[in-house]
Amino acid sequence: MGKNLNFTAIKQAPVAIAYLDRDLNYIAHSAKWCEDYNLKETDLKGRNHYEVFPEISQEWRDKHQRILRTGVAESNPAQLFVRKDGTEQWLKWTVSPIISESEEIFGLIFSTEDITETMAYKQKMNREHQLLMDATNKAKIGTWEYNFETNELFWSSVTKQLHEVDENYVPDVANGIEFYKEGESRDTVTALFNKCQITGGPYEAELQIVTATGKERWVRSTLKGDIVDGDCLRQYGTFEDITEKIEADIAYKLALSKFQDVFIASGVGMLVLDPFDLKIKQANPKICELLDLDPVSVASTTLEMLISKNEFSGFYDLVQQLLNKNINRLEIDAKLKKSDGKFISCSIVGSLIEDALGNPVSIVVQAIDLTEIKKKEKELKSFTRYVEQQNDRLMNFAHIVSHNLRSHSSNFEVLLHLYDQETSEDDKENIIKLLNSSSRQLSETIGHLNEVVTVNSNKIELISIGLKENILRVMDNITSQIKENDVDINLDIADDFTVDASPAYLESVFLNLLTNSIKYRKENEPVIIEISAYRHKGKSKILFQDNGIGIDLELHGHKIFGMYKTFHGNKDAKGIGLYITKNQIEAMGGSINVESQVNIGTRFKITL
Amino acid sequence: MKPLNYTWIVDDDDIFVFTVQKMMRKNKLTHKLDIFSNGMDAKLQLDKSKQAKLAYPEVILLDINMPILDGWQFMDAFSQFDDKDKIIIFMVSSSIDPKDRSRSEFYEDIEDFIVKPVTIEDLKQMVDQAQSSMNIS
Repeated sequence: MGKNLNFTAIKQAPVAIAYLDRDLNYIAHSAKWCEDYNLKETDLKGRNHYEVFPEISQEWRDKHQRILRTGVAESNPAQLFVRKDGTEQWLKWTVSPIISESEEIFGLIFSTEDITETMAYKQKMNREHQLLMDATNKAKIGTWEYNFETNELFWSSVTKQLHEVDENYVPDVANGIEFYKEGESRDTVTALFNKCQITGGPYEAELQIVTATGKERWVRSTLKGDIVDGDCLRQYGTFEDITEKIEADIAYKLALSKFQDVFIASGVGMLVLDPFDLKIKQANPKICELLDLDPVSVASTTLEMLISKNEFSGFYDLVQQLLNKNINRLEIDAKLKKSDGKFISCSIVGSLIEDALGNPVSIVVQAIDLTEIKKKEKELKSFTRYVEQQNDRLMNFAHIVSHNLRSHSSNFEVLLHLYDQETSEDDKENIIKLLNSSSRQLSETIGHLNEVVTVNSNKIELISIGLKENILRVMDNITSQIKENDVDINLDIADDFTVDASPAYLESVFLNLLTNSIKYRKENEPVIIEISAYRHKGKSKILFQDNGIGIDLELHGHKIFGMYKTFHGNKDAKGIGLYITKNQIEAMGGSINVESQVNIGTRFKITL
Repeated sequence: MKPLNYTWIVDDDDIFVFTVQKMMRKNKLTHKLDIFSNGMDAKLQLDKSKQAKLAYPEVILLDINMPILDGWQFMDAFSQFDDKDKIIIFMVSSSIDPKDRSRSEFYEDIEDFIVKPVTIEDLKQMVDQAQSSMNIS
């Protein structure tokens, strides 16, 4: 047999190989054999195998004998051997019989390959694969793999769960694709699968499947192919449930489109702002109308340009609070600038819009024009004030009426009672006199009350009156009083100065003031009255000053214009004049106030 | 009923003064009666009486609405008066404005608030009330 073997060739073979005779003595071997088994010798020719490897077990010795007997080769692709020194070695081995031409078995060929490193690598791969599977299971990401050689489709258990099939389900490509919803989803996945077979991918698509129980689900499918020499050996990928995310996306898109409809049609001015730099992303037609903005060019500006400077920082603070989630809504009253530079008062409300992950996307701001509201509010306030004043006056008047009428009626009552009990005729006559006087006073009081009611209830018409002319007419009526009392009246009023007033009331006012000044003059001193008028803020101001005895305003200030208030103990003082004067001036929409110093004089200031 | 020694009426209504005067005399409710037509005259007389050590009235019937110094202003001055505890004040008015009555309750020196017309029964009761009040103090 020796001549049949090219020993040199055997020696140089790159694998561990050895030829042994039937007694397991070495005939030839490769240098790699000694190398792989860490042998000191380099030439084992003639040595016995069991001598070289005394640790060889009985099992192996039996195996050798079996092969020599049967002529059937035995092999193992990976077997673990533990050497004398305890090291582990993975071997791929084949033991074949050497058969002569005469079909005689005369020895054995050992061929081994040290696959320790490969095995270690494989184990590591397995471990990593297991970790990956664990991770994908936890993340609810399914995996799949299709082997083109074996035609086998593998689904991980998550993939099976997502399809709602049980753990034992065996998928194949045809029904795997059928799980995809008919139409766009199935067409897409088929196309990608075919494409990936040629290019290797990777590809990714969001598709709809219909599970085994008929539920529709959104999945993200990825595909990748291993292409070797132009042939796709396998395709694999992941499979992830994204139903919630897609549904949220769809809801968001729907909401967005609804928002757009509202945004355009809204009767309230609206802006969509960038939440960070407050750039205007969108302005609705109403706000463009309100602020007279060009809808195109407004998009290149920021809110800072539209809001009044001193109010912007307050607005900016609120935006920060909104972004920090300290507040849910931003609310502020601020002035917005129109294109012509004028400001309008607005009530501004803003809310933060976030994406599905909670990141700020924009701030939607609504601006409501308060100009009309403020105007109405002002009107309402002034009307309320008017009604309150009127009500106060009426209440006051009701008490005055009851007080004054009651004082007379109680006098009547008591006098009549006394009359009944009186026996002396003289005293009776005296009581009748008092009853007469009381009756006179009652008529007078009723006359006064009637006058007050007339002033307060008649709607008067204001016309433009020459002031100087009006006062001169009053002076004409009291010429004799003026002469008798040595009164000097100076009018510092332009001839064409006019006031909006009722001529009769205005005359009555001046008649009252003039006669008061004469009545409360200082003794032994001429009466000096000065009347002047000027305009201030669209109103007429009339100053009326005398040099009379004055009035202690600290004592009487609060009741100087009150009804039946008298201050000087003057017998003909009735306490009605200034009350009516005030009522008449107020009925003309004006006001009157007083300054006075005792023994120096009194000054009335009338505003009409 | 024991009459009062000395009474003042401070009121500018001549008819009211006449009627009260008549009723008090006839029923012997007071030995002496003086009339003042406004708060200022009454206040000045109080000061004068103090200085000259003259008798004070035991009771003052005080009207609200009067010229110069009205009833309230008189009370403001009276609350500063050293011998105020020797004098009992009845506020008398034809006012039925509840604000006047509640205002009178703010003045601790006002004994009571009487609404006109004042009858003889009112006056008798007032004298009673004044005397029992004097006995207590």
